[in-house]
Parts: sequence; C-alpha cells; structure tokens
Amino acid sequence: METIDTDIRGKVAIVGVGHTPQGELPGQSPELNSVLAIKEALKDAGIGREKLDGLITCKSVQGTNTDVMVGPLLGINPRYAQTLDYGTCNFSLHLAVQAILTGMATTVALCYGANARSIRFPFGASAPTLGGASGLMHIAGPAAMALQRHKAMYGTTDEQFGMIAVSEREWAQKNPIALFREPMSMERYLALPYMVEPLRRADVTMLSDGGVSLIVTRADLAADYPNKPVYLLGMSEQTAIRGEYTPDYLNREFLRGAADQIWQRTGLTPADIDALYIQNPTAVWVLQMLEYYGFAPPGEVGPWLAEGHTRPGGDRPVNTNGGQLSESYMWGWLHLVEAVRQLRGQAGERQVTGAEIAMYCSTQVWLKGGASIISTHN
Amino acid sequence: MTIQPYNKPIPRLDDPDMAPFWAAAREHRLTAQRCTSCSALRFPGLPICPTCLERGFEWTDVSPEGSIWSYVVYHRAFHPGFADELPYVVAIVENADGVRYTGRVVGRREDVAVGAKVRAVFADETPEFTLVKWELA
Repeated sequence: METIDTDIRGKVAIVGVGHTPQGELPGQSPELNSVLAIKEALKDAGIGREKLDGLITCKSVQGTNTDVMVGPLLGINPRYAQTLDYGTCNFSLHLAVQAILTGMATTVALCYGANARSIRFPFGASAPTLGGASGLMHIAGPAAMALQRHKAMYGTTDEQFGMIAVSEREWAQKNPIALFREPMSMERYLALPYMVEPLRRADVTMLSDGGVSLIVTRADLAADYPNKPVYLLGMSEQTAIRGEYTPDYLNREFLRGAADQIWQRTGLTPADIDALYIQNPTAVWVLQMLEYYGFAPPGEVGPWLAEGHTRPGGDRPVNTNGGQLSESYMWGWLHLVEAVRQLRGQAGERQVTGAEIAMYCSTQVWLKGGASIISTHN
Repeated sequence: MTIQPYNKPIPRLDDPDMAPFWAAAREHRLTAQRCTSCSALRFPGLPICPTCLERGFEWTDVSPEGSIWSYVVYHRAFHPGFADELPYVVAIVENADGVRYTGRVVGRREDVAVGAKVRAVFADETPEFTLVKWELA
C-alpha cells in the first residue's frame, strides 16, 4: 500500500450537529428535511447561515437532495457546493475536510435528507437481473448471504450474531430519539422468525424520514464556537468498485485496506478508541467491520460478541445511539452525531465515561468503505 | 386446471450484455462470456474484458456442475410473485469453471449447505424466458 503522508491531524473540527425528529414526517421532502437539520446544526454551532461558504449534500435514496435542490430552500449561494451519491456521512465529512484543507471553503454544512418512509420507497424492488428474477431482493438478501458464509466458515451462531441487535436495543432504551425502544432480550430475539434466513427483522434497519447535518470548519477557528470542538484525527477510504466482479465480494475483505490506512496514518490502535460507531443497514456490516478494523480477532467475532463487550457497561461500546437497527435509518449519519455528543459529554444516560476518542466506520454496501477518527484533543 | 400467468420479475431479455445468455438458457445451456484475447471468463456480461481491456468476446458453454458458495432462505416475499413459494432458497453458486451465478436452489431444504454440490437445471417459465436454477446433486 502506497500512501502519501499528509498530516491532517487536528486541522479540521466539527463544531455543530443537528437533526430533525425521526420517524414519519409526511409531506416533508428530503430537501426540506436537510434544511431543517442544517438550521438545528447552525443553532448548535451558534452561527447564522451567512457564515457557511460550503455545502455538501448527500443524495436521498431516490436520487434527490442534490446541492442545487437544497440551495433554493437554504437561501444561500456558498463559494463551494457539492453532492455525493452515497454520503454515509463519512464520505461527506472526508470531502469537507478536503475542501477546507485546500482552501475551497472554510465552514461547510454537510446534510442528508430522507422521506423514504412517508413515500413508501420500494427498497425491496428487484433489479432486472438473474438475481432479481431468482428472488434475491432487499439488502437483507446479500447481507444474509455473507452471514451464512461466515457461519459456515467460522461456526458463528445465531445467538452470538444476535448480540449486535440486542446490544443496540439496550443502548436505544437510553436514547430519547430512538424509534425502537421496547426491551428485546436475547431470548426474545431468538424467538423472532427469520425474515431472510439467517437474518431476522431485528437485524435489519427500518425505514425512517428525517434530516441530519454537521457543521465543519478550520480548527484554528473552532475555539470561537460555543461547544467543545471535535477534531478529526484521521480518515481513510478504500473501494471495491468492481462490485460483484471482485471475488467473494460479499465478504467485503477490502475493508482491511481502509483499516490499515487509518491505523497507519493516525498511529492509533483499536485500544485507543473509547466509543465505536459502525454504520449498519444490517447487523452483518457490524460483524464484518469489527473484524476488519481489528476490534475482534479475525473469524472470532461471534464468541467475542457473546462476551458482551459492545453492550452498555461493556469495555467496547458500539453504536451507543442504538445504531440503525434501533435508533433510526438516516444512512448512518446519526452515528457521527452521537459520536460528537459522546465526546462533548452530552450523551445523557448513555454517556460513555471519559470518552475522548471515537471512530466511525461506514460503507456503501460492497463498493466502498471509509473511516474517521475524531477527538476533543487535537 | 387453469394455468397461472408467470407473475415474478422477468429480466431484460434484450439487454445487449445479457441477451445471448438468456437465448442459451432457452436452449438449456449454461454460458458465460470468454475474452477472445486473454480467455478470461466473466459473468454477468460486460462490453469489455475487465482483465485485459480488450473488447472481443464470445459466449461459451460452461460446466453445469457447481457448488454453493453461500445461500439464504427467504421467509418474506418482497415481490408478490414469490408469496406462494415461501420459504424459498437463493444461492450464489460457483461452477466448475469458477464462474459465479445467483440462482434458486430446488430440492430438499435440509440438504442445502455451503459447499453442497449442485447442477444447473432450466425452468421454462414463459415461451420467451427460461430461468437457470440449481438442483442439489
């Protein structure tokens, strides 16, 4: 792996976070939800929109919410605007860092907006392919395929894997904005029917409407903001854009590339991370990333999960917001919002004691992966 | 007895990258693209070889024997056409030539396993459309 050592540590800070209520917001477009979230993030940052000279939007699942669609509602013409096809917040944050460090913008609003729930977006729709004709539909299909393979290779059990959903539900019970908060014991989890075996409904995210925004600026300006700045210590990305032409693509082994880069660039190790966030349209993505990023031994994430590390009170808190399985869908954006709140000490009942360094790992299915490490120290 | 119309999704049979595959399936042959420059096999079809970036290719018969790389069992129908077939099994199969196909697995569900041997079978779903499925060997 060839990398150019560019020291970006501590040069950019997250100074505002905001979001709309989650759930069903009938009649609110992705663009409106984006702007309502930006309004909240600006309030959190203590600034007006005139301070923004950059806007990075993330497309909604139906392809809207582009920069030029959000612009008219936001009422500003910033120097810099861009749209990512698939933000998952990590990719959006990384682009903002690049824009800021190259002088293209100074203070950037990132946003995501969705109305997939109220418009009943057909996530299960099949592609006109051999797979679609064979009934392989919904993200649960390929994810379950990867899990079945993991089970066959390493002996991972339903009970071990189920700890991801059970643990996230435990965290969600401490989070007032989480959509799924009713208790779910392991016994109750195991009694749920399969949806796409070996996945149960509780292993898959829900549809939700809403918007999320972050305000990012140059670190030397961050002290002027009311909240404790959260600095970016490092970031990395790795693609597998050959898609299904990459051998064993559902195992997503390319994520090791993103992991190697971020540990090498930051000089940190998994032991340094106080709170871990993993984007999870399905729990399978958590299973895989725990291994690839080095939080659990390769092939042994099952027994490791069963030990309860990720739960409230555990030594490796994961998705303390309840994740996408219990908090809200939002393409993973609320993970980074939660990470910022934890580092600021604003996480209420679910506060991880002494959290100083957090990490967010995300993917665009089996095509791209990225990670960011953030901290209140620069 | 009334004959039910086929109510599951039908792929784009005229897709320029895949039409020869579907035409061969109608003749109950399993095929893949072979690059005429470097001989690499590829599937689904692409207009250029991703191994050597040459454009020449032919569709060639490949082995109908394979094994299951992994599989899933659908207990919910995300398309109404599958509702009366629940639960149904879909697998990724690697054939003896190393080509991967996604497809329905027919046969006793208890015998479906990662690594299980399977053989391609051809289901004539409509006069125009034949679906390649996999039968436990």
